[in-house]
Amino acid sequence: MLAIVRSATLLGVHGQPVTVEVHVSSGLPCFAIVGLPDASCREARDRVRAALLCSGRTFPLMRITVNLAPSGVRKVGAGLDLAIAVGILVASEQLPKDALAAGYLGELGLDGSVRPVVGALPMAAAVDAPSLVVAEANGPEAALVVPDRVCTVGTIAELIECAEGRSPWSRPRPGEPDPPARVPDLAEVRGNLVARRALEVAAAGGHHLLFVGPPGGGKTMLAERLPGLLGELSPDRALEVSTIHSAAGQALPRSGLVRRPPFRAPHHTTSQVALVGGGSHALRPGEASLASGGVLFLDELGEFSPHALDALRQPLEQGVVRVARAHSSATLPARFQLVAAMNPCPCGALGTGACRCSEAGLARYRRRLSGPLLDRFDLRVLVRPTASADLLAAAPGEPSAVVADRVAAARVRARARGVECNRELDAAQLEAAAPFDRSAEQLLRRAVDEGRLSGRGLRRVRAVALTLADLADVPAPLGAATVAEAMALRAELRFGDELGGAA
Amino acid sequence: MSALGPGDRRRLLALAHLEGFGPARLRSSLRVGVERAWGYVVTGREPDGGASAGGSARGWPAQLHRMDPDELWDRHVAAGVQITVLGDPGHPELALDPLDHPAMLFWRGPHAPRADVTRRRPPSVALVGTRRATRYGVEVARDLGHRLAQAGVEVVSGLALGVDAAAHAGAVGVPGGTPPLAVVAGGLDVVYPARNRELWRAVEHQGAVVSEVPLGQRPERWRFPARNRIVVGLSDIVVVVESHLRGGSLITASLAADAGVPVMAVPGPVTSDASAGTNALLVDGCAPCRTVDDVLLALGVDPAPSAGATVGATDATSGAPGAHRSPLHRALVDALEVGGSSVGELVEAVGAPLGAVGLALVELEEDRLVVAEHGRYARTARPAPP
Repeated sequence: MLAIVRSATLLGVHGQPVTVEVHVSSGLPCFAIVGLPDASCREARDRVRAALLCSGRTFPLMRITVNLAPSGVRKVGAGLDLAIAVGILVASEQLPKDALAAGYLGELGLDGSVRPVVGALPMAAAVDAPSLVVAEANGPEAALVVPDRVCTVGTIAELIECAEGRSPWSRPRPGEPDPPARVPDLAEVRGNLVARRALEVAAAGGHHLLFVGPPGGGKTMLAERLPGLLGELSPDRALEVSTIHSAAGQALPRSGLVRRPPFRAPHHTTSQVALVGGGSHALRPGEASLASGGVLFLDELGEFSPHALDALRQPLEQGVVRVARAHSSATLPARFQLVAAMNPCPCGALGTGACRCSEAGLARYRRRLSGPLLDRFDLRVLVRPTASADLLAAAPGEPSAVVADRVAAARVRARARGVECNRELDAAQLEAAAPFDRSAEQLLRRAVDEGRLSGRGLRRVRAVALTLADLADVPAPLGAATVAEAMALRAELRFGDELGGAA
Repeated sequence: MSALGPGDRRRLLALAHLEGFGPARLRSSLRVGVERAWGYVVTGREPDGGASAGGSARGWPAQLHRMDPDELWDRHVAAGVQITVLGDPGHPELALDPLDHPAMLFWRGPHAPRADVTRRRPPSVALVGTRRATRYGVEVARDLGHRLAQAGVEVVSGLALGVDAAAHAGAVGVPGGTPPLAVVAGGLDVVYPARNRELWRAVEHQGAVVSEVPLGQRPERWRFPARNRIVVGLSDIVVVVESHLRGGSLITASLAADAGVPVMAVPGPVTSDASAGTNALLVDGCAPCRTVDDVLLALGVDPAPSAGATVGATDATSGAPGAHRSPLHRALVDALEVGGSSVGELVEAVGAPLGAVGLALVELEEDRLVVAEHGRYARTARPAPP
């Protein structure tokens, strides 16, 4: 007897349809799984046998062969357990054949319970069947992509009852609304006018932002307030982000969909693979992908391993990470906004005359931050601790809500250009959207001629100036003051030879 | 001590290559006669015939056995290295205690250090200071180096990072200026630190680079203070530009004081650790160096009419291309702090919107009144070349 069940496995952030073929025939009792299962997938044999027996069914003492097709794709994890169990039940005539019309996703417990799997969202999208049976906890997630076709089960016994028509299929519970997000407010930051301005511009244009300053300057405090300035994700982006989070095994919010832009702040000891994704089998998405659609915040940028940082260059440039391993490769989306904070030197006091770093220590610190990486920050702002008098006396700054309104208005203008934010404009679009007036052009020409601005710098300044104009609701062309403000927000950080004095 | 014969010079050079064979042992070799000293050393004794004190003497016979004095000599000649020995007419007279005199000096470059006693040599000033110089220290050192060379003063320094390098960078390539002199701790072919390679070449090309050790010797730690005493000995005045409270430059200053060489110190901001040492020198009664004129007066040289500006700053408000200066421009220049200010600090200091401040800064940069480095804006100190 043969039974063919539809299911899926996960590669990167994408589901791969998998056909589970179960063949039960006479012969010496044996249970073999073929078709490139990984270790956890092969262990399905023991889980399925115990689960069937505990559910009051018999496990056929016959020759059972399970083939997972296509056999070229490695199947990862226990998500195929349920499909294999259904296949055996049908092939041994313990379940009606109509059960094969649905697709199945779920891990089995030895007691016959059906457990949720990682990546239910992308896998549900991949299963090619008119309806889909998943674990109760995966219901809302799967319902995001195939809303009307999802059924949920708690145990094998329940599944059999429903399949035999003795009780109705249960449907996933609708997600509850999210509790209001609790993000720190910008009003709590005193002083630091330029840094606040940079934060607003970063939020409006999606520009990569770098804070440089001694410890205690409020760099982290500022960066943590960026999510509060960002609006909700568009429905398409929200689904994309939810897919990534589902594939990475992150808990989705109670409403089901990730609607707030994610804010990921990995520690500086994070490895390259954890940052950009990879791993030997599943090619799991890394922090860069989890931050897609939102903010990747790297605190203490200078302490990250140079390899990890350089691996970020491709996603910064192309918005995706392509990870390739010997047997598989995957393209992981990684359209994040990079926000970083760093000390000017290991002790943090460079330039104040109180720096205690050795020459060699300083050189080592700077070698970690390659020029190309620093070049990719559109906004580079020096932050210094606010004087205690200002901390106590200064009136609280604008609250996040006010700034967020301006940001939202600027984003509307950016969307009119066909992109989510100005960062995503390519060179041609940028040139068309942001012409300079005469005075601005002269100013920039002199800056380039005198070597104060590089070609790449020019493009970054143009993008930031466009965002500034969007924030102020000033139509093109861009004026000299706007361009000068953009230049002032991009502090020149040329590391390497300043202390040699031999300039 | 009379002039040495060529054989003795070669043997002395070979002795100088020995491990742990410093200026004191070379001097005692000269005192007892190089040939006799050689005889002692090949048997593992001190050059004056005494029993060897240190462990390094045990290796001397084997090391000498491997050496060919003629070949060593030829190598130095081929590299264009001049060698003078204590007692030679060309050996520089150093303002040092006789016990501190280097027994041999190696130098390369068109200008021998104080060698030509028949001509009036130019006055020389050592510019020393911390390797971890701030922007202020670098600017002041560069400016002093430039103006001293312009005024006909030989600038002496150690080609280290920070103040040393800045002083030499200011002094090289001054049209009609006096070429600088560098004293280094290792052999003349061992460029250290490597970052200063170009500057090293420039000094060698115009003035001279001097060392106490033969070619190929690594600059070991103890060589640096030894080098500093030669810097002091070759100078009429030592100017400490920037120094931390515990810095090598303070040791140089006390060496100078012991040798009777006047020490001057550049005052710095009291908030800057890099100026704590120099400010302490001032408190101890050392003469302040505010402008190049202070140094020239101390040297007894008439200040050149062009060399009178304050060190470290040009007056932006009276700058020539300042016709379009607005109150904002002036306020910005006034708000610039020593060591540079970030845009954020400037915006808060002048209370103007970022766009206006940015535009004014760009204009000030275009007029070369302000320079941006590492995100900080500072006044330009370097005078326009005359």
